[in-house]
Amino acid sequence: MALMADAASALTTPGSWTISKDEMNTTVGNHREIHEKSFLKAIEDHKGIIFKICRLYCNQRSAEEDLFQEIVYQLWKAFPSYRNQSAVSTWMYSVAIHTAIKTFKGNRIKLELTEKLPDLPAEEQASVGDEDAFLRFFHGLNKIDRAIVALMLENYSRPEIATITGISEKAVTMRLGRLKR
Amino acid sequence: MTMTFEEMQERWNAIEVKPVSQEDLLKMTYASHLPRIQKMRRRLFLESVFSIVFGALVMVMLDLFAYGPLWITFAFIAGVVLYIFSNFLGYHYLVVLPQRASIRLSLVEFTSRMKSMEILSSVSGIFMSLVSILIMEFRGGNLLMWSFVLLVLLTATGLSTRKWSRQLNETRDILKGFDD
Repeated sequence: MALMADAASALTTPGSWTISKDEMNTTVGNHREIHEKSFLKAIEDHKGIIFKICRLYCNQRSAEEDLFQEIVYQLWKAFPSYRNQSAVSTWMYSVAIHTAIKTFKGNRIKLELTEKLPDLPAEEQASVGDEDAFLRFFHGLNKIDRAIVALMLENYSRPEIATITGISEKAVTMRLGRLKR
Repeated sequence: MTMTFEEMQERWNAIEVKPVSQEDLLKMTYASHLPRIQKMRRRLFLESVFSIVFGALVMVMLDLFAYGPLWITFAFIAGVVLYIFSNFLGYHYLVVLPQRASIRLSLVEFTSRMKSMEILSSVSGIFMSLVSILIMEFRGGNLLMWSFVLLVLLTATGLSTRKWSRQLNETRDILKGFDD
């Protein structure tokens, strides 16, 4: 009853509907804070996706950092329109791949001269060599095929790959068959 | 090197994930921290300054308000504003990529934006050139100077249109990759 009385008084009190500038700023600030928190949580939970896409589309570590920043920015801009129609990871893959395809300009080789190359321990050298060989396979593919293989390795089904990329399911099957050969 | 699907998946999942602080992630949500965008911002700033200086110089040196109908002077100002507006719109289109239901649809949307930028850029350039010719008709004066003004306008329009055409062609090439 007291609550109803308060509500009734708020409705009848002149000026009770107006929001002061400070209140408005606090509301906007809180909204951004909530928005930031949920965004950071999503990135923290799935940042592996962004790292994988960066390794997939870049040959150099410096380019990877730039692409990482670019993907985070595009995800941030697209976050308000994310409507939970698909899993966060699927949405992130879609935005990350699109950003990599659009902003990454081919396999440019940039020479970086250093005074001395650091020596890695033998075990680390072997694992880096393996990883490089594995990534070299990807870097030999075109931008669209890289996306298809990445999604396949993430256990997405063919219809899901077709939905994310916008290629027909038949074309996805054909491309995967060609890549296997 | 031949690998089974499981081996590939194992290596894919073993790709190193570096720690990134929340502060760094928050910085990345601001366009000013992105190297690609920093370059574009510098270019946008220079182009806008150039347009304003060029417009002001033409108006002051030729004393546009003193000759011919006033609407031509305002049309000239509108042309400069349209050129600057088209640059800002293009910058926004390049910075924030459209995200649609699929990657292909996102690229198609980007293509249509670049197409509209190409048209807007040409229209603003042609509009400015036409206004300049009209001013020349009313005001008369040194033909060499008017030729120079037109040359600057046409060069700026050509460069701007080429920039959008290049973006358009690059995206079309990527889209072709979906059909291969």
